[in-house]
Amino acid sequence: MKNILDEIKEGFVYFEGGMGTLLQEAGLKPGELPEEWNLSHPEVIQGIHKDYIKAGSRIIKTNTFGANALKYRGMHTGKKEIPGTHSLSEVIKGAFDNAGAAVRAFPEERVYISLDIGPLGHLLKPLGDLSFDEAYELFSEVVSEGVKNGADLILVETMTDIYEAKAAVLAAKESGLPVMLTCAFDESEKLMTGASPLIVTSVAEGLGADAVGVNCSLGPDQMTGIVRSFAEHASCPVVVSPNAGLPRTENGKTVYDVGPDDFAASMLEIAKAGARVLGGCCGTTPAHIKAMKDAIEREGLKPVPLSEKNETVITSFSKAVTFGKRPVLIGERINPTGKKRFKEALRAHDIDHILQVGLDEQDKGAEVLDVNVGLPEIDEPAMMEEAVYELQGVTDLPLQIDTTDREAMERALKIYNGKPMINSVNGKKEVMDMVFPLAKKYGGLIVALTIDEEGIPKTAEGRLEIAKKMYDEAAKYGIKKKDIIIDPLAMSISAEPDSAKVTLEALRLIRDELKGHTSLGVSNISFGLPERDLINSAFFVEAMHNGLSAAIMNPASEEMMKSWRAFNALNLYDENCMDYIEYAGAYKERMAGLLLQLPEWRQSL
Amino acid sequence: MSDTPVYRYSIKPEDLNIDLRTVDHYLGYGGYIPAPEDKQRIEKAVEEVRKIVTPKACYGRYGIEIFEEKIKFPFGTVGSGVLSRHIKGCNEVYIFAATIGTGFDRLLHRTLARSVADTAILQAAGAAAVEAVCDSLNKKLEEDALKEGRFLRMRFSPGYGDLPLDTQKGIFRLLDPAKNAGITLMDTLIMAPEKSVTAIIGIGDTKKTGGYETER
Repeated sequence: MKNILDEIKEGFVYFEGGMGTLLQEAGLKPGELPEEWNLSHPEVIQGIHKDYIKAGSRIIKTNTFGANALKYRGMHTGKKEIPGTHSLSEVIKGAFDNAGAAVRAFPEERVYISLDIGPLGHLLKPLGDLSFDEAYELFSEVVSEGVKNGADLILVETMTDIYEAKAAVLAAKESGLPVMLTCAFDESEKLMTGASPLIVTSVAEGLGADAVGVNCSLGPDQMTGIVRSFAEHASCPVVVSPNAGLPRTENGKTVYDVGPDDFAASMLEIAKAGARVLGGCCGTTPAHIKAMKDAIEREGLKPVPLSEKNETVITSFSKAVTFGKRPVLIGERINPTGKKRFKEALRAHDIDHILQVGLDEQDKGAEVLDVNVGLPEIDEPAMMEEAVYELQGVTDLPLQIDTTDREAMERALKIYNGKPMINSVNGKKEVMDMVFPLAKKYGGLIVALTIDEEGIPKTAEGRLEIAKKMYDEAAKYGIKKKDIIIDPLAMSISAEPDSAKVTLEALRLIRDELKGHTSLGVSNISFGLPERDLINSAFFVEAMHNGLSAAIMNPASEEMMKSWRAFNALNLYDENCMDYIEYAGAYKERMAGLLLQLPEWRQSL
Repeated sequence: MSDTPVYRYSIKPEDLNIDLRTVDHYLGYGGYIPAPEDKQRIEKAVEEVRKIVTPKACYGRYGIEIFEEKIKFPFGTVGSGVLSRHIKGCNEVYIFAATIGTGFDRLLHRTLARSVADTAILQAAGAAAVEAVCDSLNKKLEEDALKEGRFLRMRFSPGYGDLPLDTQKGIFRLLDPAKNAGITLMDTLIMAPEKSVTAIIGIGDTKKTGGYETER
């Protein structure tokens, strides 16, 4: 039998419209819990579903938007005071009974029942009082009730925080059912906590969501920009369910200012912009859905074909970094290797020092922060989880989870707020078997080192072969090539004289022959030599010239930053050289300051 | 009870009128004028806040009944002598929730990792910023009411006087500020984002300019 995803591949699919506003019309009081009506007024809920099916909706949404153990007694309610009189199981079962009865009334139609999941009403820590794990557990409970009652798919909707959305999608994916995520954006085209459609798409696709998009928040006309952005970045189908504009009171009744015909006209444009699953949210009615469906059919509109978007993106909760354009700077300083002070901080559990190092890197121009807190004598998984949690409380830069410890990697990936970089996998079977399943589950851009059981190949071609092997193995897990970034390894020229040449050649081959992205720990090239920055910065320029997409480096190194700024200005990555000019101004000032200190410095010699 | 919608309100950061004197007041300057270098730090904090705020609010208009020291709201009856005297003669209220958004909380965490003094200034700037959101919405509601020939009382928040903090629960059930403005209520009855305000504004037929009792 077909599933909903097949139907969406074939053409437009219509979602149900608003439920809450219709319930208010039927007498739901302000502040009353709508899900209670699943049991107290089943005929009203069934009637609404039936009207929507009649209007052409092929996916109906269970009346479970606010059904969770914070409102209805469930496994995870604990000792909390809750407003619901029925149990969570009861309201969810009631919702499915009503949806099922409505669907059975139309035996000739294939109508899908989506388990509707809305936000929990709490912000996640550190902003609010709910931990990521608690949120995940609360959603898991709803998901398992939905599965038990026969959901065909899961709709996570009206999310205003990508972190909470991640918890919900992660829980929903455990069911094995198709999962859709739609978020509520504001006029600035961002979520409340700052995510853009690109960020929502990257995180959702990383977690394996089957469709992504926007609902609620705005009327259809104000949504077009958001829809375009989703269509530009998403490889999966785009879902759009706007409000019927804004509410107002008319003779003591709430009315919305976009009627069915205007709604249909706007949705036609939204469909042309690339959406293929279409519905409505607050204020929309069966008449809106019918008008929309009729308008699209009258026009004979075909959906914009689905296509794989070949973008390599990582994100924090509010910042996206795209690879393959300007070389990306990954700060390497959150790492104990060779740093006495940092080791002491880890042993003394001095989180502030870690945060300080990260913030300094950000000030100096890092765009991503590598996070490595591995020391033999500490509990690395716990420290990694804490470091990531604390760092994402103070910085909006995306993070690179750098560990060889499976548990540390999983705990960090789980609580990460966005789509991270994962450092690293390599060509060893054992390592691939560990990293790829985690990357598949949580999403992320994986740094893949060209080393395997045989060691590091001496030739560029040998490294290329390992790169191919890793791409192929990742593909078996469904991990796309765009989510792998190859590190062909920089080795010290003092130990291996031709090492720079081999690495540069490997970079070029990966770019030109594999069309892949690359990353390097640049400073390894000068290990054992004096004045390493001189070699590093020259090698950095050559590496960028040969296609390097990202450098793991020390942003405090003036020589490296000079090279990067100049490279960007020379290669059209710096419009009108504005960044360079600003940097040069600050550089001049810094140098003048150093000159003033010169006499003192001489004295001290 | 009539079916009443929750309206959303937002204001652009650049239009937010953050009053420097309010910031000084929150910092405890009283009537004193901050020294030039302090003034500079305060102004810098206000500009930093302005860069990251996403001011939003939601509100509704509801019928109420006042009897003695109690007020009947759509979410239930609340005991508060101070509020019932303050809005005496009103048969309706506006209830709103307003915030400057989560960007401020992040900025605060970031600043706290570096400087405690700057954090204190930032706190004051954030408080003044959310007051500015409330003032802006308050002004709009005042104008709306005036069109009907009605007048607003000074806004009053849960926790003022003897109005119990758990009035927040009712307000949150009524307005769903999580969905409508991105404001959540923690189990402690404190709101997140940190700089958020809920308030009740009496709507009456007569003008009453005074405030409310601050001491019983």
